[in-house]
Amino acid sequence: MEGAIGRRALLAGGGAAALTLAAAGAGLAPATARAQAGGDAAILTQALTLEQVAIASYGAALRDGPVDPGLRRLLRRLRRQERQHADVLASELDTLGARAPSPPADAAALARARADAGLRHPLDQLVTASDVARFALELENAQITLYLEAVRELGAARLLTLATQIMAAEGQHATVLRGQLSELPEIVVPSPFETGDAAIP
Amino acid sequence: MVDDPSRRSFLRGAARGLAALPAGLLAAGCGGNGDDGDGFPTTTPGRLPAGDDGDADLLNGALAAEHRQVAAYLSGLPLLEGRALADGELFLSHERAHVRRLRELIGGLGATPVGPRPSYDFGLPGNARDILRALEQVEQETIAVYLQVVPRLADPLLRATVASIVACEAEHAANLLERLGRWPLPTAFVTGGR
Repeated sequence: MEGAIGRRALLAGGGAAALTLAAAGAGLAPATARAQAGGDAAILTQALTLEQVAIASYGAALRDGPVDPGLRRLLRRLRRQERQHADVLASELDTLGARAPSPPADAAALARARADAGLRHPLDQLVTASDVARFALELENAQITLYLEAVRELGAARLLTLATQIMAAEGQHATVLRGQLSELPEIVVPSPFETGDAAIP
Repeated sequence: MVDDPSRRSFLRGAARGLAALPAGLLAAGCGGNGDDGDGFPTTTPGRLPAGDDGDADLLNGALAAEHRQVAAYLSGLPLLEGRALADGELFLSHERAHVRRLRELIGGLGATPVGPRPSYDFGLPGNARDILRALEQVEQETIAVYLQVVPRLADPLLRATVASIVACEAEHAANLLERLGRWPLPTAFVTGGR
């Protein structure tokens, strides 16, 4: 999958928070529990980083992209829900004793973060409303794929539920965006198994 | 549940509502896909049936919910038309794919997949809008079951498969809401209404 390298890079970045957590928790918890908590923190950091990229990307598209009122309303809703995801992930990281990553500070940082995440649709080439929908769909697909990995790798039951709930919400974002690009049901909901790798119409 | 003969004939006659399915019709809908498992669970919608909580048991709880969804779509499709019908037919094919996959996974664990119940009670929706609303409700209840399954599955690959199904069900629900003229993204966290 095209975003795999980017996600690995994100995970490597998240490892710093995980190490901090593991060190902070040393002494009381069994080693395996510490390792699992550290692993969970790294995964949540990775997810939060991509949520932050999504929030900033939607902000840039709303500011500079060719969006009509209907699409504007949709993008605002998507951004609001990504913010809710980010807030909960940051809170969970705090509970684990890990530090949340900082969001991209400016356009250059956002471009770097998007490249790190394997996102290819350039922010400065959004000419039509369909371009914006495809740009957004790439983001949602990347998040679905990341949360799918999270569901495989997370240890805490509470976090597994959370990741599944968010992944399902990203799937809803994706299907609504595909609905902006096609009316064919098999395009709008392309597979009985949503893995984030459906072709962008 | 269908007990009285008049209601049974109503159901067999024209599938005028998303009510309940006579055993024959249900078997036709599911059995053609190899859904001939032993026994059937007594589930409460949105609830996982009690079991030993092993992965096979958990997947059987999910399979029971999928059987119920197949029955709901089979029962509701005759009253739909146009885009709603096209959606419903596609979503039914997805539910059947979920049934097949779950059966494979359960069989792979050395367990026996549960079969569909003889009948399901979905109330008596009277028109296409009621059908869509009932289908959306069944999707939510299925999501609620899956959300109880995911964190209890021991096998990470099974968790990922189930999560990919949850996201698909959530997409169904979003599109059904849209057909109802409602906002398709009501919440940032898909909980199945819980």
